[in-house]
Amino acid sequence: MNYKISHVVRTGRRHQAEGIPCQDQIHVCREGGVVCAALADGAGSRASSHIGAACVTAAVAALACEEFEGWWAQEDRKLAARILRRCLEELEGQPYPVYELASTLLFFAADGAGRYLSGHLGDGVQVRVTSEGAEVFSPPENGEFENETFFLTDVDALDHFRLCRGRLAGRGSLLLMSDGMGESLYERRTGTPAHACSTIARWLWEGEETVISRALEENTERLFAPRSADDLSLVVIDWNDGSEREA
Amino acid sequence: MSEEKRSKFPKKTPQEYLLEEEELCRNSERRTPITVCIDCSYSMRQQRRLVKVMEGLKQFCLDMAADTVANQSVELCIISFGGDMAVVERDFTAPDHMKLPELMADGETPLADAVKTALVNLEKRKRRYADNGNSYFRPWLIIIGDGDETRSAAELEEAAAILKEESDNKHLSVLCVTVGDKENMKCDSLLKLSPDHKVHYLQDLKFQEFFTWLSRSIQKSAMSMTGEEVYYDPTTTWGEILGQS
Repeated sequence: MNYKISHVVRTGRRHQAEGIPCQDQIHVCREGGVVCAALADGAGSRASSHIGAACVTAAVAALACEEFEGWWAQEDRKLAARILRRCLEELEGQPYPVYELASTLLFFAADGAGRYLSGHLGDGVQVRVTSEGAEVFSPPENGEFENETFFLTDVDALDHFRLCRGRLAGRGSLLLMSDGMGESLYERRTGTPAHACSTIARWLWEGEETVISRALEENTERLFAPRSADDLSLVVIDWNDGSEREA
Repeated sequence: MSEEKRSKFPKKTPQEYLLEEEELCRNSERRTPITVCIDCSYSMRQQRRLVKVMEGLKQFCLDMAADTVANQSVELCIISFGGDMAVVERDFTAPDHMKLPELMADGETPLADAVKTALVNLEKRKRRYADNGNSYFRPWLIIIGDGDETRSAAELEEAAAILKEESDNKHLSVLCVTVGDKENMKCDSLLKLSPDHKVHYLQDLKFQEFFTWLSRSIQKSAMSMTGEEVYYDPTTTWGEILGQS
């Protein structure tokens, strides 16, 4: 299985205006035949949440590559607890109260044989695109109100941590996005992805990673940023086992 | 062989990958419903209290309208309570479209009726949000008054119980503000209605400062992403807290 990954992160208008660091963070790791992309959105009003988001994305991406076999062998609930524990250990090693480092988490990891694991806690969306079309793979989890979601640092985080696993085949893509990006790429009322998700996926099928990352930056600046004051982040992971030929 | 290794797609520059606006979602705006209940009983004529409330409210609308994000989100409802009943003077409206009512201070202080009217109206609004696919931030209920309930003590108890439950369940943020004479303070009813049994005493009728603080607090709420505590600016610029700590 071959993988390509492109991504973009952009500080939101509101944070730019107030000189607040971007709280969306992405980390991509490729090691030992495993790829992992992790995205986290730091809690809005917690001063160090950008550090927490950077910390957990780096940790999860690296651990997924190092420990993929162990993760794959473990039952979902135990694996979720293991990932959460490792994230909290990372956060506890920071010179800030853990509460201040709260963030959501979305990740996708896969090995050369096409085995994949994905995780999601809090808001943000995962969209899968295949030749059949685009569909929501993991929807956002919010409370009753817009600014209520769930974090890695919550006491009940394990209850909200969704894990999914399976085997990839053919050609397809997964898009991981923060809620800011979801404003343009995910329709809340119907719970459906925007047509643009398929377009972006197709770009990566045919283009080079760096070119598509740059294209995502251009489109984020031009189209997504004016539509949301929030931080914006998107990762696109393309897989291809070589079985699907171009018509 | 070299033919096969060549890309099947013509090479494009990043600028050639262009999404169209039509390919994106048209999500409805996120809303922040705010209900302000204003005491219009006779005593609000003293020290031009009602006039000053309205001046502050006007400034609040201007501040909100000047903030693009807040203006797209905030919807303001104004309820008066005086005479013998509460009245929805202005239903939920964006700040830049708000035409403030001309209120007259007269009659009694039907506080409980104001709370019930506000809650019924808010429920209607929330149903409309659901129908239109709008998500929304936790609603605010602000009660500004200078006296105690004069209509029904039982209804006040009932209203207080509902507010406590709504607040404890994080369905509503409640803020009670008293503007009466400090020496002759009548705020037992507001203390009852306040879920944390705290009432903010507005010093020297500093409504401008109060509404500036409110603007800032709402902007902070809209920035926050979670069910976390939002740390608002201190209220010492405009008032002091009465009631149990």
